[in-house]
Amino acid sequence: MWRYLLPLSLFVLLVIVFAVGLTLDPTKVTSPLIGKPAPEFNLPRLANLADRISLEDLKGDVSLLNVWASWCVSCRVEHQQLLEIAESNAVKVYGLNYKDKPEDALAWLNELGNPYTDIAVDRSGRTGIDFGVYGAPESYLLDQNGLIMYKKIGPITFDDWQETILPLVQQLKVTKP
Amino acid sequence: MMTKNTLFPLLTVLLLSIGISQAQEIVKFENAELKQRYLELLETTRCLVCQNQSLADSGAGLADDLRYEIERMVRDGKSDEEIVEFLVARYGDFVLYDPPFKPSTFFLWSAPVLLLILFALSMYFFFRKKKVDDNRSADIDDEKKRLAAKLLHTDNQN
Repeated sequence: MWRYLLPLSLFVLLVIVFAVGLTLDPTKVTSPLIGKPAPEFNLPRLANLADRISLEDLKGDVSLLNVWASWCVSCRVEHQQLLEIAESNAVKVYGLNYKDKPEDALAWLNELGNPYTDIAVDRSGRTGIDFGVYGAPESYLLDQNGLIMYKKIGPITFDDWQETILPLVQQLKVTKP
Repeated sequence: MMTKNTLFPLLTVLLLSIGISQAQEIVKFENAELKQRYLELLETTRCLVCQNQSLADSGAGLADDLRYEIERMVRDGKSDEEIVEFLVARYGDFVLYDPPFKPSTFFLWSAPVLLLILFALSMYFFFRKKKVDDNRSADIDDEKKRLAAKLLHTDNQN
């Protein structure tokens, strides 16, 4: 009996290991910041570079902080979804303009539309490092106290929004009104 | 003898190597010990953009930024532990080529030992069973041996 059961169970075990292992995407690294306060920042506002925006401005409401740049091709793919999210008024969308020229960023928004309530300009990418950004687009869902509840690496898709982010937003608004 | 055909590729290679050796010299440390620490830190940390390259090897923009941060921290007199902590707090253990042993890395570190034990156990049972089989084959009594010999003998005579 063992003679047959042992190889069979080993085989099943390997199938499970590979089924899990091969469907994971190694380029998506889990952020150690989930559940922790978002890093503080104090950066120029894209709308008026003389003005500043900080983490405090995002607190008080659930917010979606989207890291983007005009040079980022996937951001262009994501943009329509961000516009729809902003239009739904379910959550405020903030932008972190990452390693970009402000004039390019503004031209990009003129062309494609602006889903952002406000945009912080991170020209050096230093704030991006604090957020653990390693490739735009990345998005962080912050609760009312500025805790990072969720991180999406890569473009937000319709499914991400409907199945993950929107339910989280609604839950946060109920538990911490 | 160097012909025109070999000279041109050779010069190209030499010119390219100038670029490579210069890239290594961008960061200048006055202190050899600091430089050594800086280089070691770069070798032991992973670039998250191109994950199979260390920060020392990677040409990605983020790797540039992180090299700069590490350089700044080394100059500021931060310890290796503090610098590693800085990176891990932002990018997780994945940034290290040598991640620490803790619950989330339990299987990563213990898998080789567990597999070795599993292998040793299976070897043990495999050979123990074989030994039993050998004994069993030698278990024929004298009567049977005589019979077998007789059969073989008659067989040979035919």
